[in-house]
Amino acid sequence: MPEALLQLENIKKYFPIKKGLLRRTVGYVKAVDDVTLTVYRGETLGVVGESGSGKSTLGRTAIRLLEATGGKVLFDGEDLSRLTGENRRSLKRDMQIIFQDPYGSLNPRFRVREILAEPLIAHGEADGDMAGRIGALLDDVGLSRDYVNRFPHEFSGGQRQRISIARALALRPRFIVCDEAVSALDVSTQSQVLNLLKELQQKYGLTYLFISHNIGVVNFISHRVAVMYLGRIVEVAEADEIYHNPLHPYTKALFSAIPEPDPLLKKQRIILPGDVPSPANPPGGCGFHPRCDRCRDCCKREIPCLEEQGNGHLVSCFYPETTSHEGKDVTI
Amino acid sequence: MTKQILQIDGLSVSFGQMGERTTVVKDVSFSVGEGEIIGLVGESGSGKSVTAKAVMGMIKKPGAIDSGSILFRDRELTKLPPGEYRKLRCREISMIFQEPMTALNPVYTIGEQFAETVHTHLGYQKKQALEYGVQMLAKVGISMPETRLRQYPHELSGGMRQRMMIAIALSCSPSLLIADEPTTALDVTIQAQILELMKDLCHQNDMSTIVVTHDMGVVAEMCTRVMVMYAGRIVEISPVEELFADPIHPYTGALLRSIPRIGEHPELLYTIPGSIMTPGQRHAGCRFSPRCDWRLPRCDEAEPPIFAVDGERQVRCWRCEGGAAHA
Amino acid sequence: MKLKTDLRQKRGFAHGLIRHLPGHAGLTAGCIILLFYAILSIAGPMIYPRIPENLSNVLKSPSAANWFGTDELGRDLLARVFTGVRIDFFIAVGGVGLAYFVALPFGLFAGYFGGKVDRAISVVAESMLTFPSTVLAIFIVTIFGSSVWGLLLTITVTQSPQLVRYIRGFVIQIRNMEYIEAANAVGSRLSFILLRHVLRNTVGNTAVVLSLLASEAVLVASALGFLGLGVQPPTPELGTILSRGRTYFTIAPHLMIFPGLFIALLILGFNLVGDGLRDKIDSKRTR
Repeated sequence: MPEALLQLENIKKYFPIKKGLLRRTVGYVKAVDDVTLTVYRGETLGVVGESGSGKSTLGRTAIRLLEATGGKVLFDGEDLSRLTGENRRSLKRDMQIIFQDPYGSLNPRFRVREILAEPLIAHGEADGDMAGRIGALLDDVGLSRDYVNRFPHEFSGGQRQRISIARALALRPRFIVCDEAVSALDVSTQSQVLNLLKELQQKYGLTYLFISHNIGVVNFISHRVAVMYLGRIVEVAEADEIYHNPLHPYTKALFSAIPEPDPLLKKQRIILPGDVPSPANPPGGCGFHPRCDRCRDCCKREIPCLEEQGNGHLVSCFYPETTSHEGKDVTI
Repeated sequence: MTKQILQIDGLSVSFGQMGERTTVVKDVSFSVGEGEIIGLVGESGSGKSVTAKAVMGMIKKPGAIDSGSILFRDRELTKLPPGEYRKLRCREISMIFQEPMTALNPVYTIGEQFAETVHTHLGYQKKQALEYGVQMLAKVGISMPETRLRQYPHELSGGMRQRMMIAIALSCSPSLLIADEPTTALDVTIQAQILELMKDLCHQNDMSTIVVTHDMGVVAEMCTRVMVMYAGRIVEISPVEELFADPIHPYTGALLRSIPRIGEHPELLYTIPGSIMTPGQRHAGCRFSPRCDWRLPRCDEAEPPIFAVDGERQVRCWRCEGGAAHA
Repeated sequence: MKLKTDLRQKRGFAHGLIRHLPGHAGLTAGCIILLFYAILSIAGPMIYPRIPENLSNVLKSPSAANWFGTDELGRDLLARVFTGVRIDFFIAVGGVGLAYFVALPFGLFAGYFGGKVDRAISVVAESMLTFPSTVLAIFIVTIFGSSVWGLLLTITVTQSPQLVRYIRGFVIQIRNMEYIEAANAVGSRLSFILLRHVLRNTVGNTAVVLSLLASEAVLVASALGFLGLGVQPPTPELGTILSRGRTYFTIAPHLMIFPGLFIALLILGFNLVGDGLRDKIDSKRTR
């Protein structure tokens, strides 16, 4: 029975839109709108979505880099919003993040040893064998110990990402958010870093929240996948299941849109009309309804909930695909 | 055999200052037929963007074309004076870029930018230009074209901006379109729209297209023939189905194997060991040899030339000497 | 053995520096100029502890005996100018240096925290900036007095608001960088982030600004001297020497030319260093 490590309950993150001389709040960007999600110990939960889906905001809110506007975050059963001050800061030991940009996420004026020492200094672990610990971190990510005195600009994108990973590992966290961690890398470097992440997961029993727009990458590294659209989760299922049996119309369209590296595969492409809407001005009811070919009246007025369709497969839709399992029989 | 609209032979480009020049593109030769969509594929450092820019005559100091020829419809482009090149651009050869936001001028409306292009090249006056603009925007699938023409780039979404760029690029009905990472900055669902649009337009107008990309999926979707580049050299030229079914050059094979495929769940991905050589690094042999699984002693001694294999395929690998189809 | 390698390393450093000179002609020239002035400031009064008057030798044009000529009291102008440099140089460097320490915390907080803190600090800084530096200086010097320290503090007050705005701008740029977010994610304390991350990344840009503010400070200091608000005679100072020369301009123009030249050259020195540093930083960034 898998144990829940991180639980997001009805998480909302709204950003106020301020206009005018007096900076009055005229509206909200609803980046994350009522998300409930569980991440189990030792698994990788992939989160896919396009721009405006809220996946990056969700990642940052989960580790409390951003404060949720509403809802609860439970880590190991403990309600994080109750924690204050020092307790809150020491939480960072358990939850870490790896960013997308290998060039921006490292201070160009810090040497590698300073970058890796920073988390240790921040949590009072600066005494003892720092050099040894930093060396061990570099070993973990496959970088030579000789690199400790170098600056970030002396490394390639892939190597810098390894340094970011080493930094995230410094405090032996249990949970790491990978926010588009390989998206800025070349294909051949990507595969190296993905393998590294997988190996580290096995070695240290890490739990990942892997955010990406690249569905191929997400499917490789994830056990389960959640699909987001306009700040909400529209579908969650195991990686294979969600690919072979997508139930939400958006998920179906998303997977069919990916260009496959196989010229003989003539895909029946579902081309979605219109553009990805902005979370500052979301449509009413189900956020996907303007682009959905199954849209009915109720879709315009009400927001569907995430419901189980069997085998841990959750969908948020009034008229999902009929499944091959037992489930609702819906006629259009 | 279709007519060749573009023929590049032995193109080499280098950057740097007097005395210290670094070759970033070496000995690139390929041709593009009329109405053909070909792919120029490679990762960062492969030299694909530089090659595309060379065709457009956009290599600026400290870069320069060292040698080779670019024949466009039997005109030698490397010797073309800048004024002539300007006339050529957009009328005959057009380019669309990766970032539509930076490629469009933010202080002019879409209509003004479109009108400027058609005025320069086709001599249209304002009214005529705007009418034509409405037609072109409709053709690329932009709704409410009259309204859009009065909007600024930041008011449009990424997908619409890219469509806008395509409309401007196609406005003078060029015979060759160069698309540099046209969909990389777009969302997946929008990417699908744009790729379909590009394919349709290319076929409708019988326009040759060079798609420069790192995405093998885009290549498989769009292109009939593919050129694979590595470290500034072309390493393989092949029709698309054969390239994916049976890659000959070790780099091509390794690249295809590194891509995570949906539905497959290997324990670990295949990785190419090591990393790409920087252009400045000196190496007598093949640029890929330090990372190659099939390395021969010869590979470190001299760089292989391109060998013809199996009729239409060409591979830059010592293992293909004498037309051997195996690497 | 070790000494030999040390020497070789030292030569390597100088060798490298000289090799880079052609690319940084402006910066080198500026540094040489400032070095010259620094030496004059320290050594000037030692070389010329007293400048004797000689009423039989007044207002003489430049000659072999007096390279810069003599002033209305027969004093050697070169000696006057060389010792006069010290006050302006000291006031400019000291004043701007002190301004940095004054402006730094305000700029840091305004830039990093934004919001109300920023608005409060910016309102004060911007109101002060509505006055041209020289006008503000005239006003401030009446408060602090015409002593050397009074002038130095005046410069500090006139240059601080600009410095606050500049530092604030640099900090805002850095605040939005992902590595600051990463520092937060890792749990670093605010003091660590401000001092180690933010400050270190402003140093380069701030150095450029400081040089340019110093050049402005020279102008303000010598302007005050020119207006008679600076140090009182007989203490030599370029602005006062210049001012004195006005009366005799038609018959002895050298009395204004040389001090004027030395003021201009000092300003040029600071400007060249500032521009040179900025070019170096820009070229590093484009790497």
